[in-house]
Amino acid sequence: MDPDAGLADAPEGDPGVRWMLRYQAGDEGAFDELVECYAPRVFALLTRFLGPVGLREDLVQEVFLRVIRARREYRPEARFSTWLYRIVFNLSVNETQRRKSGASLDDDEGYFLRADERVEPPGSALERADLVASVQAALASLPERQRMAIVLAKYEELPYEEVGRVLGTSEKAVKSMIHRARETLRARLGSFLEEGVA
Amino acid sequence: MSTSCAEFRIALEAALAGPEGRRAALAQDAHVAACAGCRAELAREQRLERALAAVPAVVVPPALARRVLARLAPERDAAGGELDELLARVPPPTVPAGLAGAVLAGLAPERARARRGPSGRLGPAWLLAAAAGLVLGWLLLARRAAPAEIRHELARAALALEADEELLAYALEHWELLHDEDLDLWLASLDPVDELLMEVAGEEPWLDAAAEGGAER
Repeated sequence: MDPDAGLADAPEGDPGVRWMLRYQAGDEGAFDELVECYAPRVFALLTRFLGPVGLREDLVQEVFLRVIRARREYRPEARFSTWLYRIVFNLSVNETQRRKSGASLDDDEGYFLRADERVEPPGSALERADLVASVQAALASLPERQRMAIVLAKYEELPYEEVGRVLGTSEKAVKSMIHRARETLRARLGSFLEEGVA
Repeated sequence: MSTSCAEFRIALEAALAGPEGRRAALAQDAHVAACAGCRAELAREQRLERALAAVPAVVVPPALARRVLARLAPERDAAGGELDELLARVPPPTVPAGLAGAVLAGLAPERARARRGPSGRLGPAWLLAAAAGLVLGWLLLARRAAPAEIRHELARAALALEADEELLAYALEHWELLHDEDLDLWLASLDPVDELLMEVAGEEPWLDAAAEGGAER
């Protein structure tokens, strides 16, 4: 179920906002609804951003822990998903910094190539798997804000304005971020993007 | 339909932000069909889109929400739920009778200060009440005084109150002397006000007699 589907104007018509307000008012069942509905989306976003690291489920828990702790201060100023994704983004950035500082996550199967690794062109039947791994590595190489911008726009299909709200920036800045992200991706995936390959 | 390379780039940017169908429609654009550069650019972007789309959908582990909820249960209990119930058992505090009156009484000096104007002078209503109290007290206690003296002192009090807050304090200080019934000392101490009184007397005929009475002292 996509609670944002068919939303005319958020946040009034947003079921997520309504659940959160009910939870704020003391309805514990509304929090269950929030987790049931949004946990898969949070998990997917974390996977797109961080890769299939082993602690994604812990991070999902951490995201909703922050929801619990922000319960009293919550104000319905945007779609619930926008507010939630901002939490996800902040947590993801923290995790990325933690990885950079050496406290690495337990990558499941060396899923991502290193960001500075040159992607070699495919030349065999493995090319699709290579392509997927290369795209994921190229995405992982992007600066955090560019990465989240393109993930939200491309995979979560959020309009640029909404992406801007998540990242705390303007729609124009998002356009610029995505433009630069695409340039980087094109450069890193150059060999895959030759005619007839991708 | 774009008619130039610049228009095409704008249309392409919009198409990249939207669903795949918009990019496919762009391929049918007349300008794109005629412009090799734009056609190549569109093809490059479409290849990148296909590469991004090749990343498979994320597989969410089964019963994820249930597990997350179970792990969050202690936090939820601490944040609300049971804790709220426990807190609700604490009986409401007993409010002492007459609390509001006591608070208002305690706040009276501060409220009086807050009512004063920006110059620090007392408000007119307060001044009037203080003046009336002062004169009434004078009438009750200074029975020995002649009517002219009473009028005289009434004028002094009015002058003092109109003049300044400091003069009011001055008058109140001498009110204490009145309680000691040391009227002579009290009247003598009012002398510094005499000049003011004389000035006003020149404009207010009813004060003439009082001024003369004060001067005789």
